[in-house]
Amino acid sequence: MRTLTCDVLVVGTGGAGCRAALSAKAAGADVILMAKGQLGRCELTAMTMPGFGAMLPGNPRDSLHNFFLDTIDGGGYLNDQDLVRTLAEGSEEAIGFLEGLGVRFDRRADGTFMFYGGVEHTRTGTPRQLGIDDCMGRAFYNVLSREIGRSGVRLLEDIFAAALLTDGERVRGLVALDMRAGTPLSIWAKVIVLATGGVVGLYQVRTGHPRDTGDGHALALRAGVALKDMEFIQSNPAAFFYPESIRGVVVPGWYLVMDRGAKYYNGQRQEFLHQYDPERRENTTRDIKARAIHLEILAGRASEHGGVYLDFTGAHLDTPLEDYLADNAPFLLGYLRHIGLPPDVIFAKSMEVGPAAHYSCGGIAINDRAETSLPGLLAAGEVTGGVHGANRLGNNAMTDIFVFGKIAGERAAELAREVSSPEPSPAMEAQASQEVDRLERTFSNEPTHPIRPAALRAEIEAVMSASVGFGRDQTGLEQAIDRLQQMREDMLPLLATSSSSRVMDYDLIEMLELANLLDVGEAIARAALHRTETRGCHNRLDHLVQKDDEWLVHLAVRREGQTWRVDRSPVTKLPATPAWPPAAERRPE
Amino acid sequence: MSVSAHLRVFRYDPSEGVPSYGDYRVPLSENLTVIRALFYLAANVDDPPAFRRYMCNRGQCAGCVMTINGRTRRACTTQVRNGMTIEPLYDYPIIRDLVVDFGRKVADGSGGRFMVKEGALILHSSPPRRRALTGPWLYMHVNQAHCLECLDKPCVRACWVNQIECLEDRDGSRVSPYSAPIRLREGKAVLDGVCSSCETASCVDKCPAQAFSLVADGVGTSIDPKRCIGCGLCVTACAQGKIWLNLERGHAVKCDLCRGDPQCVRVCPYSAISYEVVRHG
Repeated sequence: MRTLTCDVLVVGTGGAGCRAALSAKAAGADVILMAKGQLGRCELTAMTMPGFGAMLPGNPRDSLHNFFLDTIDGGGYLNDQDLVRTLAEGSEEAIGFLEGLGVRFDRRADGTFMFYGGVEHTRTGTPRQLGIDDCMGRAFYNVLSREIGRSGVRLLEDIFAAALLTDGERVRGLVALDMRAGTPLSIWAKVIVLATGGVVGLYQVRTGHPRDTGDGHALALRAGVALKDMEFIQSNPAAFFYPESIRGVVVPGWYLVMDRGAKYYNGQRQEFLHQYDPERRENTTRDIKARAIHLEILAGRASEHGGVYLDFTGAHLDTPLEDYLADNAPFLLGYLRHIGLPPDVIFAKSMEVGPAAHYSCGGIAINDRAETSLPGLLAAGEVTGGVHGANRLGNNAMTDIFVFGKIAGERAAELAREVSSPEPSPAMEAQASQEVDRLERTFSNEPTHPIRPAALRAEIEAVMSASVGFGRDQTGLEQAIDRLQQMREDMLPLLATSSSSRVMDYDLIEMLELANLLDVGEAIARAALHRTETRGCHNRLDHLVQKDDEWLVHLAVRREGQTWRVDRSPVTKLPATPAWPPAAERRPE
Repeated sequence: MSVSAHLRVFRYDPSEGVPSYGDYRVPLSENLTVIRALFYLAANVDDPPAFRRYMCNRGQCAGCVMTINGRTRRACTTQVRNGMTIEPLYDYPIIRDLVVDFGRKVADGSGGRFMVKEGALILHSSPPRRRALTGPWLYMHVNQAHCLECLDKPCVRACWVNQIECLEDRDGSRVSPYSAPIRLREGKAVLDGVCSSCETASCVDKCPAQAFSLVADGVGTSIDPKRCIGCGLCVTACAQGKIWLNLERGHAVKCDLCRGDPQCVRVCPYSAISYEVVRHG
C-alpha cells in the first residue's frame, strides 16, 4: 500500500482548502492538499457567480458591526457570534489576499470598489457585495492553481478520503482511494483540515454538482465529532424546474432584477409573496421565499411542473431585459443558449422555478480557531456549522471560506509543531490495514442481486426531497429516518460496481459516498425532527412559528456506534463591549 | 415509442492497452446534453464509459471538456445528436475512456514551472480545419533602423494587452509589466507576442466555449471575455506561447491586432512598425 506522511493534510480543494493549504505552507508546514477531482474542476467555488461579502474601509456606510448585525439577522440569531465577528474582521484581509494574488474585483470608474446591490434586503441595508462579472470562480482558480503550484504544496488529485484514523486521543491520518490507480492509499498527518464542502447532493433538485456529498461531515460523524445546525439546508429560490434538461440551473441574473419588478406567481397566476413578507416581498431573504413557494405548492397552487412562476417581463430596466442580462449575467445566458434555450425563448413567458438545494448552513462544530472537538482535526468552509446560523446571508459563503481557510491553515501549522512525528505506531498501522481490508471487501462485493449505486442514489434523493426538504413534518421525518436506516441495512451491502477496471471507476467512490449520504441525511432528519419550530431554512409544517423562547439553541447531532444523540447546545454570544454593542435577539419591530 | 440516439464512445483501459469504440443508445429527450446522456449510461449499462462525473450546472468548471464529433466541447453544453462520436480531449494524456489529465502547475524548485500530466495514451488533434493554407496571414515587422529608442515608448504603452497588470504565461509565471505582445529589448521594440495569425490556429480549435471569433477580415482571432471560461486550454495549445491568462478577471487574452487597426503601428512616431496582410490568389 502506498503511504505518505506530512505535517498538515488538507482534504478538499475548494476556496477553504486552498487557502488553508497555502497559509499552512506559508507558516512552514509540509502540506498535502488532496481533492476528489482535479484542482479547479471539481469544486463548487469554481462555479461561484456573484457575490463576495466584505467590509472594506472604503465603504463609508459599512462597519464591522453592520456586517455582524446583517449576518446574525439573516441567520435567525442562531449564529455563533464569535465566529461571525471573526468573519467580519477577516473579510478585508480575504479580499486583500485575492487581490494580492492578482484578482481584481469590479471597480467603479474612479477606481473604488463597486458594491453591488444585495441579493436580498438586509437588516442595515448596507451594500457590501463585490463581484467579477457573473463568474468569480474562474478568476479565483486561475490564481489559486498558480499559487499552489508555486508554493510547493503537494497536490494529490483524484483521491477520495475514505476513513479517518484516530487513536482515541487525536487524529493520526486517513485512508483514501487513489482513483487513478484504483488502489487504497494511507496518509499519515500531524493535523488534518477538513474542507470538503456541503451536502446538497442529497436532494433531487440542486444548484451544485452531484459530487457534493458531505464526505467531511460523515468522516467527522464517524470520528465522534458533533454536527451542528444540520437541519438548515438553504435553497436557491430561483432555480429552473422546467425544462427537465436544465432542472436546478439558476435563472440568469435573478438577483439583479428582484428589486426591479420581477414577480413570483403561483399556479393560479396570483402573487403570493406579500402574504409571507409584506414589506420586502420579492426582496425577502431566501429562506422566507423558499418557505412561501413550498407552502404554495403544498396548498395545491403549483405550476404545471410542480414549481411556481417567475416573471421577468414586468422588470423595469433602462435597457431591454435581454441586453441587460447579456451585460450582467453573460455566462449563464451563454450556457443556456448552448443548451438550446436562447433568451428570447426563456424570458418571453413566465419561467417555472422552485427552490433547489443550494448550501448547507450547518456542519462540523468549530471554535473561532477552526478546531473541532477532536484534537488534530480542523475544519473550514461549508463543512462547518455555526457561522451562518439558520440561514446564510447572501455573499457570505465566499467570505467564510477564505477567512476560515486562513485561520484553519495557520492553526494547523501551529498545532503540527506540537506533534513530534507523523509516523504511525504499529497499532495505527493495523487500524489502517483494517480500513483497507474493509474497502477491498466493499469493492470486491459480488452479491447475487447487485444494486447499482445510481439506483440507491435516486432513492435517497427521493426520500430526502420528499420528507426532509423544504417542508417537513413529524411523520414524514420519522418515516424518512426509518427509510434511510432500512436502506443502510438492506441496500448498502448489495452495492456493486459493473466496471471492468478500477481505474477512474466512479461507481467505487459512489459506493463510499452513498454511505456518507445516508449518515448525513439521517443526521439532518434527526435534527429536523427535534426542532419543533420554523426558523430560517428549517420549515416544520406542523410547527409553523418561530419559537424564540425555546429554540434559540443549536442542535448538535452525534453518533455513538449505532445510536444517535441530539443535544441542545447554547449559541455563543459576545460579551458587550463598546466596539461590539450587544445585538438584539430578534429583528427590531 | 420513444426516440433514441446512437452514441459512439471512445473506450480505453490502460491495463488492456488497446483503445476501441463502444456503441450505446440513449433515449432522446428535449435539449438532452451529452453529460446527461453519459450519466444515463453510467446508471443503466454494464461497464459504462468512465468520465468525470461532475455537472456544475453553469458550464463554468471545464471538468467535462471532451472531443465531440472531432471538436473540443463542454459535454454539459452540447446537445446530443444521433450518431455522435464522443472522444476524450485531444492532446491530453488519457487516464481511462473519456477521463484525461488536464495537468497541474508545479514548481521545480529552481524558480521554473511546468505542467505535469500523467497518462500514456494521447489522441492527437487532426490537422487544422479552420484555416486552409489559402487564408490571409499577417506580416508585422519592426524596422530596427527606424526604431529610435524613443523615451515615452508609445507602442508598448498603447497595447491593450500590455495594460493588464497581472498576466500569466503558459508555464504559470507572471509576465513582467509591459512585455506581453510587444516589449522592449535594449530600448527597441520587439514583437515577441503579437499574434502571428498562424495557419494552424490551434487555439480556436481548443476552445470548449467557442469564445474565439475572427477579426480584421479573418486575419486575426479575438477572445470574447464574456464567453471565455478561463480553462486555459488555448494557453497551452498555442505553440508560440502567445496567449496569456488575465489573472485579474480569470479569462484568456491574446493580441487581436486591435481588430484590424494595430495601435502599436498607429502610434509609432517614426513609422518603424509596419503591418501587412498577405492574401493568396
